[in-house]
Amino acid sequence: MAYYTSTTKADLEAYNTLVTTGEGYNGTTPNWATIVEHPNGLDFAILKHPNYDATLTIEESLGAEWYPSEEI
Amino acid sequence: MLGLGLSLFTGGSLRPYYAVVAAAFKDRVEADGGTVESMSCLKADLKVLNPIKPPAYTGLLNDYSGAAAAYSLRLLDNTYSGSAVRVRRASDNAEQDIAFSNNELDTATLETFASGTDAFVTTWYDQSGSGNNATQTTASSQPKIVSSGSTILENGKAAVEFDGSNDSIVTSSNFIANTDLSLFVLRKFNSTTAKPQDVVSQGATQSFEGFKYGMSGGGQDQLAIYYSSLYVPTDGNTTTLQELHSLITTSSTTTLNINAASKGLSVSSGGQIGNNSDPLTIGKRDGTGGYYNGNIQELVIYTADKSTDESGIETNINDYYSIY
Repeated sequence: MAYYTSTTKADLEAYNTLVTTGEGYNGTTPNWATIVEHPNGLDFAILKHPNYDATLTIEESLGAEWYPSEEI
Repeated sequence: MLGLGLSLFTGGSLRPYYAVVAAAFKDRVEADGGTVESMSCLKADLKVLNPIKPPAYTGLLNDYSGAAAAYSLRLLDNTYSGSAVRVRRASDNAEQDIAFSNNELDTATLETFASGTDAFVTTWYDQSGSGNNATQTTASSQPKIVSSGSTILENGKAAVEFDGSNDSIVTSSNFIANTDLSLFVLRKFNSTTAKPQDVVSQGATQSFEGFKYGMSGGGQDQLAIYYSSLYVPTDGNTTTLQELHSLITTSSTTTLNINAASKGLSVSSGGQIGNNSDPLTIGKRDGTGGYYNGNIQELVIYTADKSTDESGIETNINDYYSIY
């Protein structure tokens, strides 16, 4: 699953709106994806929709560093 | 007084009710000078006149009431009149509630609605009557229930599939706090490569005083009760088999059964769920990460010690799903 990343959260929110509007989500589904915040507080990511492109940095996947789960 | 469906001892042998009644009727007709041409037709006529009604359906929650939340793709309570799930189809993102047919998920209606595409769960309705529906409003995080027009099945029964990447559903509010907990979940991991994975959780870290249940970072089935800092791995690794897990934790004891067999735990003490305000998350660790890669078919939660009913609940679930 590819992700767009950015240090500007608003860019990813705009992408979310682009997909949501384009796909016509409605009813109980008003969003395309949840924006993931890196633990460093500086980087953000959103899942790329296969039918919508943007001029953002693309990553093939998010590394484990994005999800600092307790290893328990 | 005779009841329908009974058999009777006559002449030293056990005979079906209809045969006895038909024979008595024939004897009386003949005693009055009449004739009965066909005993088989006579018995069939009696069945039409006095049809045997099938026994009323009894669900798990009819026998074991008091659940705080109950999610399933079969009907769990014969008084529940709501739907099983609300789904979104991929083709045009339309949504529809899917109810039950013959006490099971109405897969015919579901597949007709999916129209050859995928369908995803937006809401898994709570059948307990408590209103703890689990929802997902974000399209890419909704678990799948239909793939290319076909209902996802596990051992022949419908299942909700979590992708291990970003799928989860969440209740709107907390309903498990300062309490004993009895949790019954029918699950099947599709992959155990990524670790840890949480099937259900409540509270992201210890500071939230909730709990999590799934696969630990070490690859074992594990319950963590944050309030009492109780981390309870089992004595075996998490499998990719369809399994019924019965988890009961009280202030004094914690037990885990897998397919109705007691599993060894690394600690024998107990721990209640703490004073938290977090909703229940299904399919990942509350917060981020720990996504579950697998299927869930049934999840029933009691905020009480159900030790005395545990065996009966397990039997009810297994009788339907034929797990072990």
